[in-house]
Amino acid sequence: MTPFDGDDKCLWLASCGRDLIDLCLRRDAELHRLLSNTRIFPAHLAADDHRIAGRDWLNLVRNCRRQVPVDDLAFVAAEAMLANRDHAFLQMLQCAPDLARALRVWHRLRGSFLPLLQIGLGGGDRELSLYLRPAIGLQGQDRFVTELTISLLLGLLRHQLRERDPTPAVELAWPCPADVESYRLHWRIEPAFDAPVSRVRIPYPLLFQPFADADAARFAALQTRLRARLDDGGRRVGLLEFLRRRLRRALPQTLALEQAAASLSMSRSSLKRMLRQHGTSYGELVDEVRAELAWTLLRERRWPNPRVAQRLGYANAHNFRRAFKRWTGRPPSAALTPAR
Amino acid sequence: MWRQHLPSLLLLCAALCVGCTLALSLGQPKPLSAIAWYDVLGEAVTLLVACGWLGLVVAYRPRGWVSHCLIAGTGLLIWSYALDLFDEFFEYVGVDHPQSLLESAPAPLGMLLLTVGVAGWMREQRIVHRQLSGREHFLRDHRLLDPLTKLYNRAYLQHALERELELRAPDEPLSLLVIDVEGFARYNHTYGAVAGDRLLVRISEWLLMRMRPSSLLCRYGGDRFVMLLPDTPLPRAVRLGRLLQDRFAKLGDEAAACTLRCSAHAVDGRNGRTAPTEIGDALAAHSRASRRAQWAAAR
Repeated sequence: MTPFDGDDKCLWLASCGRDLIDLCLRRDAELHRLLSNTRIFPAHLAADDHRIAGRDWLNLVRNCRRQVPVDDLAFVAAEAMLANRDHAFLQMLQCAPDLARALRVWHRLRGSFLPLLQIGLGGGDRELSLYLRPAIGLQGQDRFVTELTISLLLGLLRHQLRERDPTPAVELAWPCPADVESYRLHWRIEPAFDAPVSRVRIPYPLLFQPFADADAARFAALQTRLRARLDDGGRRVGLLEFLRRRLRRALPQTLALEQAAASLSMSRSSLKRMLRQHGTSYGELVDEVRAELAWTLLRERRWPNPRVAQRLGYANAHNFRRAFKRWTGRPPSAALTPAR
Repeated sequence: MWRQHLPSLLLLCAALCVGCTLALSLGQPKPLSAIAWYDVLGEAVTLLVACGWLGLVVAYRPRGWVSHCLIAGTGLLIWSYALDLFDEFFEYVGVDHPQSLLESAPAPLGMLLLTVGVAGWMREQRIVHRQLSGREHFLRDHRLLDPLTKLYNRAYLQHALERELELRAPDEPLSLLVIDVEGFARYNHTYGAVAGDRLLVRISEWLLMRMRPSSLLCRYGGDRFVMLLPDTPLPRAVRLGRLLQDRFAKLGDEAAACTLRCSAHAVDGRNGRTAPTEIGDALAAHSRASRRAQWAAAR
């Protein structure tokens, strides 16, 4: 399996782009401006199986945000997608028996809808954490893609769960904007900002509450349909997601750059260049993977420092402490106190 | 508007009458064979165009020195062209000098006056434009408009409230009316985003029709609208809110799935409270009163 890049055609226009484009057209955007520099032509909009590259979709998003300068575009787009009866993927999630099954299928079939974010799982005593990281370089649209994904998840919960207690929580990886009203209005949650990684925390009881529109037959039928479509196009993950998974599996050993490049059958320097295009570097990826595992082990499993250090491949707890401080600005002991 | 110019018009009519009488009394009719019909046609058209100019000036210009200049200028031109037309039909023998002077002198004078008038008109336009753009410099920024409903957005509401707090008289009451469309999320989800957007536009137009011209309606975001009511005491704002709720419930058809929930808040800007805090407090009070399931705020 080779991972996909910004230039591989791995997104279906009908599921990722059509609702967004219609939404912008209803807000007086001009079609030719929305499609400029995206290699999408108006004729493609009607085709159900037209696929576009990640880079083209990101350009489309950039055009949409320029043409419709409102701060809640991602939230409204998510609502429009969830309400679209022809959106096979989101309709499938909405007729799942419960959130746990919906998330599992989302993960398994993520290739068929917006695989630009890697959704990593972590578990604590009381809640499930979904970590959202870019699966390829998102060219400055990280915030839009993250907001869109979280809006889809929260919208799914809002429409399907009758009881709203306990509540999910959201932490976002960017600084608090001057105006947080859009989050309040659309999510009805006050998110926390400046987190190391964007994440959604879902209390366990929510996972097993039955969905209002649960429909086992339809759920199965839609899954089969999407799986068939995916097998056609190949199941592929983003380059960054691919490397993170490799690195994580290799721990406590650190996978060398040469080995990673070999697994992608490319040279050391071309991998380096490629990562630069995606806005990151190999060292950053290694740190990210280690930091995430460290957080999980410290906070969710309450492991002591020396044991975590050993698991991450550090020679001693002292080195680990220093590295942890470099990643987060806080010593590991601070990880045990809950986030603000 | 033409009534304002009645004195000038009467004066012009009188002058034309004098001119015609002079021409008729001094001249001898030409025989038909001596009339140059192409000249007649050309001069008649020129006269009609000049009359058209006069009509436009009279219909669209307010009184003032610019209008006087324009009317006098066109009047003189008309006088000159009319006499020019007459001398195609009449022959003046022996009275050559006064008649030709009467005919040709007003034309350049009229042109001069017209030029001065048009220059004055342009200057006037420039000043009016500058004043308008100064007065609404931020009204013209398209980023302050919501692209769907064409109402002003949240940022504009803040600007407007700031100005209102700054400029109003100390005891002038000021109210905010927060309007939520309850059930909109459900409607949007059931009938699709196209229907949802249409409903929002419809509700915004419905609200616009039911407010006073001095009020300001903004789309705060999502399904929330905020109305700024200057010179309105709280009880009146509460009454307006209740009225909107009741009327909306009777609206029927596609809006039946939703209800409005309004709450009124007095704004006084005392103790140095700024526009953002006032809006924030109003919304907090609105949410407290809400039965809408709010997912908990910051924990």
